[in-house]
Formats: sequence, structure tokens, C-alpha cells
Amino acid sequence: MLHPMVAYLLRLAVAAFVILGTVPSTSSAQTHLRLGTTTSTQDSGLLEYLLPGFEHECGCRVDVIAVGTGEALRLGANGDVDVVLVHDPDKEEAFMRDGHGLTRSPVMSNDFVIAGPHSDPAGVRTAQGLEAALRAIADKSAPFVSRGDESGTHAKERKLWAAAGIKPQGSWYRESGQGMGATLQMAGQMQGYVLSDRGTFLAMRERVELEILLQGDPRLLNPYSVMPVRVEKGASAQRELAESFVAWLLSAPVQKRIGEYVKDGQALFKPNAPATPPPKTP
Amino acid sequence: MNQFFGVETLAICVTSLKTSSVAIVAASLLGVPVALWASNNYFAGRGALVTVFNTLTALPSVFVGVLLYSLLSRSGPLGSLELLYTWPAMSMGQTLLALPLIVSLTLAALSRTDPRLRKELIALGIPAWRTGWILVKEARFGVLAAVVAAFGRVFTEVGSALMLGGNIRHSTRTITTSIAMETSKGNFEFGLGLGFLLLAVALAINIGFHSLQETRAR
Amino acid sequence: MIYRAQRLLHRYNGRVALQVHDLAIPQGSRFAVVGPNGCGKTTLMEILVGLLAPSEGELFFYDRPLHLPLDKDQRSRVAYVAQQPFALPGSVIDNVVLALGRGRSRAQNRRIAFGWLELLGIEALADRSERTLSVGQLRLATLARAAARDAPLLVLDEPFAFVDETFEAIVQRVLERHHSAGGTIVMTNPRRSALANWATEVLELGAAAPANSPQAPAEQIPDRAVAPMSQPSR
Repeated sequence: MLHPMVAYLLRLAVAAFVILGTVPSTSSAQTHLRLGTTTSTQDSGLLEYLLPGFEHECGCRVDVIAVGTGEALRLGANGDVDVVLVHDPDKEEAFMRDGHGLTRSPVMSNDFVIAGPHSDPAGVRTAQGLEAALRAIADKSAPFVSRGDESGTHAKERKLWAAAGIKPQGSWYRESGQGMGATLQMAGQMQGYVLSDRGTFLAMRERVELEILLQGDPRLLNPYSVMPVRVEKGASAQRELAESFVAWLLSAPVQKRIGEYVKDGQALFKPNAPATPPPKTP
Repeated sequence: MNQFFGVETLAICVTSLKTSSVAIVAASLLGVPVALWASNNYFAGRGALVTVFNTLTALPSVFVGVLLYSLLSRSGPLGSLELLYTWPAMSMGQTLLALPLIVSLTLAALSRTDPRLRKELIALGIPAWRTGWILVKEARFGVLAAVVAAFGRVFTEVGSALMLGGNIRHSTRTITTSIAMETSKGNFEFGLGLGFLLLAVALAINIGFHSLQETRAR
Repeated sequence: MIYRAQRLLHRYNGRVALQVHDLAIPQGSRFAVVGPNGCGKTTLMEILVGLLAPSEGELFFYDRPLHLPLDKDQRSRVAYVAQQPFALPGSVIDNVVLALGRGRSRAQNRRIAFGWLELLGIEALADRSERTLSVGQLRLATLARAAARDAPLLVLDEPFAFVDETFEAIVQRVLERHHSAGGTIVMTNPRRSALANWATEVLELGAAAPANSPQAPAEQIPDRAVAPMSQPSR
């Protein structure tokens, strides 16, 4: 007997949500650029340092959705973000191949380090090269904490194991399934080895009992690319905004600012945009 | 690093409160009539319906997040509404989380009212909506308890808020998504502080509800 | 004929609680349902007023099958006074106003409700909360509430339970008024003798429960409830 009433309330609720959903965009009367990116760019503080400049210039707001590279690319493929800033070359190429991105441009890079306990039971500090270090960890079955979350860091780590000819498995190989910070925390508590980007490691340095044991190998380079997302229908304003964001990010002054970003006395990112911006695809 | 005692923390609190309050109002407006309807009508499958709502009180919030994400995504069926990564999207997720709790606890509260009251109301030919209102007033302690419990659930959930809101700074960052973020950054002190803040706000709201029950009891 | 039914049966948890082979309640009658406690009088009343659907058999109300929930027209034709008086939250006059329904101003409703309270001699209780009333006062208040609905059919389940002689006379006056205005009255009573002079029709229900079933608590059949009605009918 309350049936029509329930149906009415249901319609009312949906209508209310739709109205509420449109209110924020009209009340602020500001355009929003949605940037899908990795936790490392947000947690290192780089975006907070850079983005106000762009927001000021374009009179818009940048909504940062910081997730793993895998999820960020997925959001881009679904059209839920306008531009992605990620670090996983293989997945980025696949993203472009599938036609989700308009252009792909290198922006900057930082580097990965292998961190571990001061006691260094596997002898990573003294190992002859990257492969030897990884093999030593596997041979000694020393605990290694992996992100295990399809992030760019995770992809890099798997590539390194493959290059060393090792299929990591066994009780010593532990997948956290969490972000970099949480994974470092776990590695610190377990006194295990871990592959981390330098920025997050520096941010966490005082909280975890780990130190950098191996760094500087060219294969530990961590390149970031930016890709504006191809939008199927309409939303050309979003596309223009995304493209202007990319142009801004690759411009000489911003590249210079990226190189100047220092945390704890160390520069975290090395700008590496090409001198000429990528050609625009129609 | 953000300051703990700052405007931003306040804004995060406001977002949390706004999202959860709207969700609770929506879930109550939907859930209480559903509970009334289910308790006033005997129909085939009624027991099954009640069991379904009782089971859904255990709905995982991340599951609700994925479900609504697939609907609200630009490539999903409701993508044109452009609700993803807005606070109404978080409210929708929390409404879904609160609804089963409100329905099953309100049903329980209504079943504790004197059966003679319902019989008298029907025999007097009181219209259904007014019968419902009188029954809810009679069961107000239980109904308010249902609302308070549901508020506790949605105010402290993180899974769906993270997926549907995106933890966007100055926009959809809530107390719980901040805790998740600060903790993963390793800022445990900050995370703990936000946790205590959450508890303090929840306490204040519960005191408010309690005083509401007290005054309405008179 | 207001009610018509054959082979009406109701079960509670598999146990037969009511069995009526042939039921016919004519318009304008004073219909008495009598029988020992546990024979299903209250069950029959609740079926008649549309609070309960019989397990078996179909009941016709004004020649139309009666199904739950009753529609607005059917509901408006029957008023019910339950055995245990139960007031809705609020004051006595609120209770009566609630029964009047909509379509009038608040002041009008209050005036009409007050008229009914006066008829039953309880106008002094108008603004008292239902919680402060004695059982007998509650009985009169619920009677006023039912009568205020102005339905052609008045169904009462043991209306003389819980009332003393003074109140009983008031109840009788209201019933008499209803009947002389052309209304129909259906009423239950545990003892046949009590309604013998009053009723135009009597339905006697047998004990449907097992023969040696325990009797209901004694306070449910107070002696006063069976005080004979002295005035002759017509």
C-alpha cells in the first residue's frame, strides 16, 4: 500500500542526487582538470609545489586522483580523468596503442633504489651489480617486500627480477598490495629488502629502519610520461585544457622548476622533456 | 605537510559531515518507508526480503565503491551525469551502505510496537501515510537508534569514499580518506590525530542524537 | 445482507481457532455472537472488520468479497471497538478527531469530536492524556472514537467488559441510538443469557479448541460484563 510512495521517494532521491551533483560545478563556476597520477608524485609533494602555478595561469582547478599507475591508466581508459601522469613505459605504450591517449611525452624521471636493513644479510651493498644483488636476496631467501599492486614500481620490480633470471616466489617474497609508504613501513618492520622510488624513501627515511643499499644503475631510472586522454564525445573544452596542461608541464620554465624541487637537501626529479613539444594529433 | 590544526582539516571535517549527513537523510527517507511497508504488509517473500536486508548490513564498502564506480564512470551507464569524484557520488555510496542498516533496524523497532496500535489505526481507516507516521513516532527510539547506527557506519567508512570521491584535495577529501592517505605516506601521527578527530565528531553527534531522544521522550 | 459466508475457517499455527458453517448478518440487525472463551469470537470480529483474512472460505460484505486491505468505501462502512481498549498516543479528543478523517477544518473536527464525548458523558476527559484514564474511561473513549466514524455497521468485541453499571448504561444508550438510526450492531459476549433479550439474531460458537483446553484468565470474564440488558427490543 506504500508502494507508489516508495517509488516516488526513490525518484525524489535520484533527482536530489543529480541536482546536488550539478551544484558544485555551477556554484564554483570553475573548470576542473582531472589528473590521474601515481601516489609518488602526490606523496613527494611535487604536485602541491607545481600545480598552483598552472591553476593560476588557466583559472581552473586541478583535481588530483592519486592511485597506482595501473588504476590511473584504467581511469584514463574509462574517460574518468582528463590527463594521466604515470611511470610504466610498457603500460603507457599499450595505452597509446589502444587509442586511449592523444600524445605521450616524457616529463621527468627520478630513480629507484634498493633499500634494506643496515645488517644487509644478503650482501646487497657489496654485490657486483644489480642482477647479482637480486640473486643474492633470492639465494639467501632474505625477506623482500613487493608492492604487488600493479603500480609502476611493481612493474619495474618484476622487470628487474626477470632480467636477473629469477622468478620470485616463496615465503621470503611478500606482496603487500599497498602503496609505497605502507610497503616501506612493512619492510622496515620485517627488516626486509624493498624497491622504492627515491622520493618516497627520503620522505619516510626517519620512520623506517632501512637504508639505501644499491643505487645509480641506469636500469633503476624511473621515467614519468604525461598523456592527455582521448575523449570519445563532446568535452572538447576538457581536451583543450588537458593539452594546455601538457604544454605547460613541458615548457622550459616548468621543467626548470621540476629540477629545482628539493626535499631534505636532495633533488627528487630530473626534468627530461624533449626540446620540442610533441606534435598534436587532431 | 599540512598543519593538523588548520583550515584544511576543518574543510575535511565539513566534507565528511556533509557527505554522511546527506547520505543518512536520503537513506532514512528511503529506508523508513520501506521498513514500514514491509512491516505493515504480509506478502509472499516477505521473510526473504527481511533476510536480504539483514544480510546487506554486512555489505563491504569497497564493493559498493566498485559497483557505483562502474555505473558512474564516464564509460558507464550513468556517466553522463558526471557525478564521479564529487561528494554526491560519495553520498550515494554511503546511502547504499546505510540503507540496509536503517531498514532492518527500523523493522526491528516497528515489530516491538504494540500490535494493537496497528490494528486500531487500520480499523479507524487512517490513511497509510498517517498510519506510518504514527507508528514511526511510537517506535522513535528504535528508529533513531537505527539512524545513529547507520551514521556511524557511513561516517567511518573509507572504501567507497576513496573510490567514488578520489580523495581530491579541497574537494572530496574526507577524514577517513585522509587517514588512509596520511598513513600510507607514513604520517602515522597525523593519521592518529585524524582518527581521534573522527571519534570526537562522532561523539558530538551521538550526544546530539541522545539529547534529541531525551527531549522527544517528554 | 451485510455479511454472508459459508464454511469460514481460521487457523493459528495449524490449530483451528474458528469455524463457522453458515453466517448471515442482515441489515439493521442486532447480531450477537456468543460462546465460551477461546471459541473464536475475537477472531471472527477481526475477520469481519478486515483485520484478519480467514484461512478458508470467502466472506461477502455488501455482496462483495472482502479482501485485505479493505478499500476506502468498505472501510468507511464499518467501525470497530476491540475487546481490550487501546487508545492512540495523545489526548482523548485527539483520538476522536483522528477517527473523523479529513475534509473539515480543525475547529470543526474538534467541535464534532466534543459532541461525541458529550454524548458519552466524558467531555470532561477531552484534554486528558490517554495514559491517565481508567480502563472503563478508556472503553468509553474508544467507543466514542468508533461511533464518531458514523459507519452504518458497529462491531463490538465484548463491550461490557471492564465497565461498571454507570458506564454500561452509557454504552447501551449509544448502541440504542445507533440502532434506532437504522444502523446494524454486531457484538460478542461470553454468555448467551446476557444478550438474550437484546439480540435479534444469535450465533453460538462452539469451543473450537480441544475440549479440555485451559480457560482464559478469569479477569477476562468479569461478572459485570454479563449484566442483563433489561430494556426490551422494540
